[in-house]
Amino acid sequence: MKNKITFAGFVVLAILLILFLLYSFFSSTPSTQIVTDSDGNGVLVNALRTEPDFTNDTYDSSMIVYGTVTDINNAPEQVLRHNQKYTIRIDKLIKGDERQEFVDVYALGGDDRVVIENQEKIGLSVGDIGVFFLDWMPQGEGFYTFFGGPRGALVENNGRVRNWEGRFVDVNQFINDVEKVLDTKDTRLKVKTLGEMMEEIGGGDN
Amino acid sequence: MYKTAKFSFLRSVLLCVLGLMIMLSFPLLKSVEAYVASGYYRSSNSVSFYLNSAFVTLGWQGAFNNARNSWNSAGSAFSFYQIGTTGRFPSLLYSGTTDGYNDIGGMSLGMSYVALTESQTSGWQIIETDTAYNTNHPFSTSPSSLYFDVESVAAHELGHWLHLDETQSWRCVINKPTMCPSLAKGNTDLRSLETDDINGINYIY
Repeated sequence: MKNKITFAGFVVLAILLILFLLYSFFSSTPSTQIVTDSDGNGVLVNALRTEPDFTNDTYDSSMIVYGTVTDINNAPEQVLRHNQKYTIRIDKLIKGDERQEFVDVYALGGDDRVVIENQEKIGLSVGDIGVFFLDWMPQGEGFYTFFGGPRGALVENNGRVRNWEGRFVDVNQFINDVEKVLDTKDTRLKVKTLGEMMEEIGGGDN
Repeated sequence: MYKTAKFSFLRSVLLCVLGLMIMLSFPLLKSVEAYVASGYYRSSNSVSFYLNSAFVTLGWQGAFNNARNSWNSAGSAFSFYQIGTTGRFPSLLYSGTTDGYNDIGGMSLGMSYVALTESQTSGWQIIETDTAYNTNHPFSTSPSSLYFDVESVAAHELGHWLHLDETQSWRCVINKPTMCPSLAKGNTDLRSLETDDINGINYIY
């Protein structure tokens, strides 16, 4: 009896250790996004992002929508290596010129790293409702990607979202805050961009 | 007999608890390793690159030398070399193709990117890397709240050439490793390598 119980204990311990090894293998969270071709070769993509700043992000986003994720396509036709497409139904257009009912947002897939990011990360899934900040894709104006990796605010419990300071606020209040920024003239000091500087010295866009 | 069985049962429970403790403590142990390595690597301990000629005209050469030297003197066997300047577009980013050159240049990247690095791999080996600074943003070698710091961006992107990943955001609250994932205008914290970064390069190479 004693041996049986001791044996059972070791079996349980062994199972726990196996779980531990599996956990340690799968729990690493590299930020690299990997796009793999049919030969198994891939392209590693790493971006240095602008520091999250509510006012700057609001002004700099190409589009801001209050909407619902209606579809996640993990194998769409690739656009500039972006191999994941999120379809968002626009329930309210907060910023931008688009007049359609849905907007396609492209992301680098290969993992579930498409998240809404401010103070914490939450994976996106179909049915998620939130305020989505969108950016033009690198070298792909006309196609949208998530601003900042992305940034935005998902509606969580009781119609509240987490704002840039990490505090829960009513989603309508959050939208009002965004609109208030947009209604205010952008008085940020403007200096020459790298593109403008390169153009001046004859370096083009490269 | 009953007591012995009870004792063995308790011992088994203790063993289970011990196993559980090991499992639960692992995330804490992992958090000590602040750098994140993707698992990809270069086949040699050096990499040569070309810098866009416009960057040199803009007076950025010194900033790139500093960033390169920071990694070269981190105690590992790895070295960055700059071969020369170029007018080429960073092909991986521009056209999605390899051209056999590791280039650093500029490119329009929306607004939320400060810079972007792409590496072509074959298996676990990196065979080509290109970096683009976002031409939609202003950059300067002199710290100012209006510009992104050229050297900080260079140091961070060269870290990706190694292939170090972004440090998780919450770690950047305590100190500012070069591999922190975001940068504000005027901030020069990413210029200097922190222990996390140095441990990272020494782990890979």
